Formats: sequence, structure tokens, C-alpha cells
Amino acid sequence: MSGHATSPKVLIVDDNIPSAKTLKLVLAAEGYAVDCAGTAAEATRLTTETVYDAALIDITLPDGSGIDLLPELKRLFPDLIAIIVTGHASTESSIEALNRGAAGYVQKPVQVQHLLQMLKNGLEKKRLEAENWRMLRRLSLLHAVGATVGVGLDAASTLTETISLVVSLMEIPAGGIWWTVESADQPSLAAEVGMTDELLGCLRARVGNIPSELAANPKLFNEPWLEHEANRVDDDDPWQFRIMSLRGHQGTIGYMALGGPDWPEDRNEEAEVLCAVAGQVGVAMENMRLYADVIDTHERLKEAQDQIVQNEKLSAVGRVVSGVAHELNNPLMAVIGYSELLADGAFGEETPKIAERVFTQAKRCASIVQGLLSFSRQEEIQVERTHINDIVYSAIEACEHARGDDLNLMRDLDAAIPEMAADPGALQQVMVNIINNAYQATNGHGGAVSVTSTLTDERVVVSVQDTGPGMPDDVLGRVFDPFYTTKGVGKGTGLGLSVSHGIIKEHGGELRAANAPEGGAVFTIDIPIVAPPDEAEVEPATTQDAPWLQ
Amino acid sequence: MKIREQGRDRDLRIMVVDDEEDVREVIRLALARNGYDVTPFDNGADAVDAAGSDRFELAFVDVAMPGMDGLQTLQGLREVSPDTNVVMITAFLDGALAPDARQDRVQDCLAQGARGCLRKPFGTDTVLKTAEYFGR
Repeated sequence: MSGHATSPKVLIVDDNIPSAKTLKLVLAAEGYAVDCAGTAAEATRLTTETVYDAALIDITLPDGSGIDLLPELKRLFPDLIAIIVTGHASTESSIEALNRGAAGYVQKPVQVQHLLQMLKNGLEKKRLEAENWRMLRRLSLLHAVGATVGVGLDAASTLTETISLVVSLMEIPAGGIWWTVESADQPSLAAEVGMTDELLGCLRARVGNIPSELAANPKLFNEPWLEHEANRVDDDDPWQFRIMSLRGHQGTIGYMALGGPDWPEDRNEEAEVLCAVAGQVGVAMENMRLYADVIDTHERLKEAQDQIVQNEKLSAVGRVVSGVAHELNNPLMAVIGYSELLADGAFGEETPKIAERVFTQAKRCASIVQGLLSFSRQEEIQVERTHINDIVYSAIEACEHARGDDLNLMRDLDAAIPEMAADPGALQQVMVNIINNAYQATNGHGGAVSVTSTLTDERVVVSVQDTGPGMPDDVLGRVFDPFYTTKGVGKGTGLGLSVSHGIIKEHGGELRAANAPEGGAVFTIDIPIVAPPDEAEVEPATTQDAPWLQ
Repeated sequence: MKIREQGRDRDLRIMVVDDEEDVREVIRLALARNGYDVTPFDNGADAVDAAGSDRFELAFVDVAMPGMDGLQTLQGLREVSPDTNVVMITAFLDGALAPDARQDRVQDCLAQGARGCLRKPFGTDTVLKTAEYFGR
């Protein structure tokens, strides 16, 4: 390959040997390395051995025309400075020569100064072009790498793109990047292009060894890169690599290796720019790691948060479980104890009475399980055309047995409430619940319970107020919690209001609990009026006359 | 029969305090059938009253009761009759499964002198075993 610092090589193609020798002497004195060829064929042969910077070609050769040789040489060496030497000045042939890529032409007898000047200009132009190309390449490399590593946060793809850019802009066959952050002597490959497994294995071993090399020879720190020969299985000649460290703010975090079958010597001039690129990549890699850390931390925070939410759910489940357990354990205690005593023959004539008690307590267990099912029910409410006042009436009727003789029931139902779409069964369940609670709140001390329904702004509001003691704040806050109950053991499951709350919510409304200013508790059902469907829906075929089948 | 004889011999006076009638009745019957002298109470206040005037060696006291709860009843009994062995009975799960500390006051009771706790549902054999234990 052409060495930059060595003498420019010139090929003289001329069958006039004395003239060629004279010219050779002149050029050699000017510092050129000169070869001579007497024929086009010899010239072609010589060009297979040496790379020439310039050629002086006589237009008439024994085996052809210099004009014809010209494009062949230019094809082999596009940068070749070709000067046509002609004995007879012909404008036509001169133009033809220039068209075919000649840098110029001189007329015999050759004016040496003129020729030297022409050569010098040509070589300078060539040098400037090469320099220009190198500068351009450096600039594009820095720009492209900067643009790539600047925007990428995904390490793997960004580094692969970066090493591909470096390799293609530097016209080097292969490149690789290794991390050494996790472990300095166990580098991990981050990206590669044009490598083989053998090359990667060989380079990885070398990269892993660099820390101890540097420790043994600190002078190496001053080198822009380390040279390395890497063998390939299918090739006797080792590939030549240059290994650069990638430095982040906290020191070396990895290495970049570039190379190929041989190392183009002119790339040594690019050491500085390649090291700058390595620095850019190093900082970018560090940023990517920091970013990955941030992502990781974020993920872990999210996991912790999910865990907290899950724990909350578990705690709610635990509350339900312990509530159910408490409610079930009392009747179960009675069932188990009585059964044992019955088996023991403890009761004699009393046996049927005690068996009845076992039955009652077992039914209580069953109804708790039933309550649990309705508490957890997920099915939607079944709406139909219904009138809210009818539901209130039937609820009052259903509760009548629970009303003490000394308890007054007052009702004030708004006749203006229109028919609406709602689930009468579910709403009756809610009202029975609330009215029963109100009766129990007065607890046999007489007093009154008032039930009112009113129509306001497309909403219907049913409130049930008692003259009982009202609710303390802590009760008020938990009154809709599942299994929360203030009643004595066995008097309530703590599910009624919780289920009611769910039913009203499904109607798009609200169930509120409060203490009335004048004393006593007041529960308010507040639901929007939804117009009933125009046509009465066809009753689905059900076994309504056989409720136990449902 | 042997247990009944032992029970009589011990002359152990026992109170059962629970607002749940059938629970009370099962414990009372199991003990009475085995010769123990048992008095049932459906609330803590009556039980504390009785312990002030009569001698009781053992009391089964429910933790969750309306009015005076198990802990208050225990405190009352400790005050008027420090020699009475108080065993708590509860339908709540133990602490590990009861996420709401307010529900499980058994630990408080044990810290304030209760001799133990029985978790419902328990059988008549457990009742007798407990009576026997405190009758020794």
C-alpha cells in the first residue's frame, strides 16, 4: 500500500529509452521514485507490483496508443496523476487525453520545469483531496456517532448501530464493543459487526487481560490504542486490530476493537478521532447504564407498590375471612356440642327440643354462607318496570313481624314518583335491611321509625329515620364495611348494609348513613330515575313457582 | 363415671359467661353432667356481681359480648375475685389470621391475667379437660 511519508512513485511509459532515462534522472533528483516501462504491456505489468502516484505516458507506444493505456491505468488507480507526453501537438488528441482522465499533457521536447510543476501540482491536488476526504470522514464519523449515541437509550441496538457506523465510515471490515463494568476480566460483548466467533473469542480474552497489562506497564496508558493480532480458523494470516478504551466519568467501562485482514496505515492518523469517538461511546454507554438503572429502580418501586396493593387486598380478604369465621364458629360450637351431648344420651325427653336447636344453629351457618354468596355476587341487577313506592310497601310488610308493639311506623310516600327501571327484588332486600335495622335501633324502647320517599330532580330519595340513639362516629365510618356489626353475637352477619350498598351502587345511586340533627340514625337511598322500557319484556321461562330450584 | 366422681370430689365452682345462649348451654351441660357446679351468665356485669359474693374457681368468659365485653369482664373478675381462673373463649381467629387488631382482644386478656383461651368451636372434651386441669 502507498506509504504517505515515502517518495511519490512515478511511472514513465516511453519506448524512447534515452529520453526516458534522462527524465528518470531529473525526477529522481527531485525526490521521486521512478520506474520505466518501454511498452504498454510492461507498464500494465509494473502496475501489478507497485502503486504509482503519477505516470508520464508517451502517446505513441510500440504496442498501442498511450491514450488507450490511460483509462486502463485510471481504472486500476483512480487517483493516478497521468500526464500525456506527445511529440506532435494535436489539439484533438490532447482533448481526448484530458477526457480520458489525464491531468495534463506536455509536448516534446519536454520542458523539465514545466513537467515538474505539473507533477507537483497534481500531487498536491491529490494530497489535498485525500486530506479533504479524511477530514470529511472524521467529521461524518463524529457527527454520526454523536447523533446515534445521543438519542439511543436502548444499549444493545444503539451500540450495534454505532459500531456499524464506525466500521463503515472508517472502511474497516470488523469491529466490536465489550462492557467491562460488571467484571474487568470477564468482558461481555455489547455489539459487533463483521466478526467471527474465533475473532470474538480471541479479542475477548485480550480485552479481559488489559487491566493486568496496564498494571504491569503503565506507559500503555499513553497509547491511543493497543495493537492486537487475532487468528482466524480458516485463515493463516492473523487479522490486525486496534483496541481503544471506552471511558465514562467513572473510568474505563469497556473497550472497542477495530480491525481487518490488515491495518490500513493511514488510519493511524485517525487515532485521535477514533479515541474521541471511543470517549463519546463511553459516556453514552455510561448514560445508558444509568438509564437502565433508573428503569430498574422504577420497576422495583412499581413491584413494591403492587405488593402493597396486594397486601391491602389480602387484608380486606382477611377481614372477610375472620368475619365469616367468627359468625360460623358460634353456631358450629352449638352444633358440635349439642351433637356430642345428644350422642351421649344427655337429654332424655328433651332430645327433640335439643335436636331442633342443632337444626336452627346449622341453618344459621347456612344463611351466613348464603349471605356471603350475595355479598360476593357479581351478576348484574335485573331491571324491570317497577314503582319505588310499591317496593317500600312490600318491604314494610315483610318487616312487620320484627316491629315492636310500642313502635310507631310513619310513612310519607310521594305519589308523584313515576314508574322506573330498577330491580324490585334487590331494592326490597335493601329496604328490608334498613327498616329492620331501624326497628332494632329503637330496641324495644318505643319511639318511631319514619319512611319517606320523595321525587327530586329526576332522582328518587327514600329515607328511613329512627328515634334510636344514633351512631357514634367510628360506627358511622365503618357501617358499610363487610362483616362489621354492632349487634350481639348471632344477631347480625355484618353483611346486610354492605350488600345493600353494592345494590344501590349498581342502580347508579348512593346509600348514605348519617345521624339526624334531632337524634337517631337516618339511612338514605338516592337513585336516579331511569325510564322503564316501553315494551314489557317477554318473561323468560323460569321455574318461578319452584323457588328451591333457582 | 370416673370423671364425674373426680369432679364432685373437687367441688369446683364454675361460671360460664357468653351472650350466645346455645354456646353457654353446651358448656354448662357438659360440665353439669360431669358433676361440676356451673352457673351461666348472659352478660359480664352479672358475672362480676356474682363473683363478688360467691366463690368461683373457674370462669369461661366470651371475648366479644355486647355491653361489658370479655376484657372488661376479666378485669372485673380479677378485681373482685383474684383467685378465680379466667379462661377466655372466642369465635375469632387467632391474631395471625385476624387482620383487624380490634377484633382479637385475646392477647390483651392474656396479658391481664387470663389463664388461657379456647377457640370456638371446641368440643365437650375440651371443656372437661380444662375443668379438670384447674380442678387439680
